[in-house]
Amino acid sequence: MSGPLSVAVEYQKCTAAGQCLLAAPNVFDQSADNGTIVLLDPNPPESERPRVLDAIARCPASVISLADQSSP
Amino acid sequence: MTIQDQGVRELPVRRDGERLEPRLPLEELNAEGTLIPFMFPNGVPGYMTTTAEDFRAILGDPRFHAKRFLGEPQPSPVSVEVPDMPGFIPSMNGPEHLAVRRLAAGDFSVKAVRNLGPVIDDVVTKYLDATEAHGSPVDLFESYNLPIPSEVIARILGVPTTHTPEFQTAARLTIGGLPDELNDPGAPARAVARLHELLGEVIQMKRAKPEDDLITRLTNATDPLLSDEEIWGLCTNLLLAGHETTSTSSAFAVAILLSRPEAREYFVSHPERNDEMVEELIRYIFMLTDSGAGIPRLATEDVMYNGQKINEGEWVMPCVGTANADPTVCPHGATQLDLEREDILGHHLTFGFGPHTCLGQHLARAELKVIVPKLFERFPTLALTKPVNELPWLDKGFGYRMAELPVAW
Repeated sequence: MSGPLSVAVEYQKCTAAGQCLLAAPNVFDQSADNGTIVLLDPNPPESERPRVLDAIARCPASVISLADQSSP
Repeated sequence: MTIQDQGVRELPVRRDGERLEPRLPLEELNAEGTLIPFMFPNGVPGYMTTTAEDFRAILGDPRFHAKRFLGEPQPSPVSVEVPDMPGFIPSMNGPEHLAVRRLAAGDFSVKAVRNLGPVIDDVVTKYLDATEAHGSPVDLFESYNLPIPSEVIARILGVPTTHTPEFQTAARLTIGGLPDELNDPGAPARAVARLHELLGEVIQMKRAKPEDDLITRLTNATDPLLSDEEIWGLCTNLLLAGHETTSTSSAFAVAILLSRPEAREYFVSHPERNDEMVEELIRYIFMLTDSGAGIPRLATEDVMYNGQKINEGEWVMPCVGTANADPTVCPHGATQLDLEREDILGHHLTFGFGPHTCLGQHLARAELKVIVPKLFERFPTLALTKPVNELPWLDKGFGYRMAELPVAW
């Protein structure tokens, strides 16, 4: 069942490498202050899934996780 | 069982022949698919990673610490020893490392680097003009590849123009310098000491008169507060990390294109693929070094990894070369340069992995994307005056490079 995605980030592990913003710019940004991850949209549409998965694969600090918000 | 008990091999480095092809048998090592115990040229044993998966796992595992200049395996027979500095992030670990790294990270973010576009264009144009004014022939490494990255970093840090030439001289000497300077083994340590003085002056200037630059931001930092010594160490770190790697990589890129007519023709006729072509050059160039261009990690406790026991106090060398040759990173012809490669953006491991992933990677890309194409635009008839295999080469592992790049147009 498809529905909006549920994206979570563990900010304390973020090493500010900016890969998430390159992979999924509609979902992630970098803080201008310290370069760390900014979650622009915790519930992006299904169409963002490939880009969020790419961000997860590229993140060097395993900061990002994705769960499907589907009813049981 | 220690690493020494496992039959430590010498690194299988090819010592002769073609300089612009990998010098380690990367595909064979990658196919072994395990951590291999090697004796490094400075007489220190270390396990080398051979797959992209292992590369990521070791660099992402907090039980392995980044430690510099503590007797780690090194790629040259004579160990390079630089005194550790406060604020030097490649020697820090855990939350302390992240906190200091984040103080500088805002200035190297994707968007901050986009905003630096005019600065990079300006610096590159300055050295194109200087190279043209010098006239043909010229050592392009001295006139073009070497000075650009240190001047860009000087601008980011906020080094005033009065201090920039000496800052660049010190930067050059930290990596051994030009051919006539290379015979002075004490020069790098003296250059680091000179940087200490120069940056100390700049830090005082910024404390007295704040400006919109990184050193000012570091003097204003509160979480954590940084001492002048820590700011100096961090700035020296940023200079060393961004200066040698980018200048050397751009020299490799130019040497490769000048010695491969088909690649050059493709490069100059496909400016719309600049991002992908530069990314492929970045992937390929870091497969050429003897050591695989890794920065070693120290096991801080006994670790069982894929059935192998790594004892506390043993080293692991994360090998960029074998990781970039891994079929999961590059499925076809991984040890060949292929400027027509698709889907290359963000999928190689030249910039590392884990918390120490290259902070300056967006800057390095942005610089190379201007340095390389602008050179061929300005000097369409550019040619090497000596075959690349006959150049003087410095076998320094991470700093593996040609000592000069003689060209004419």
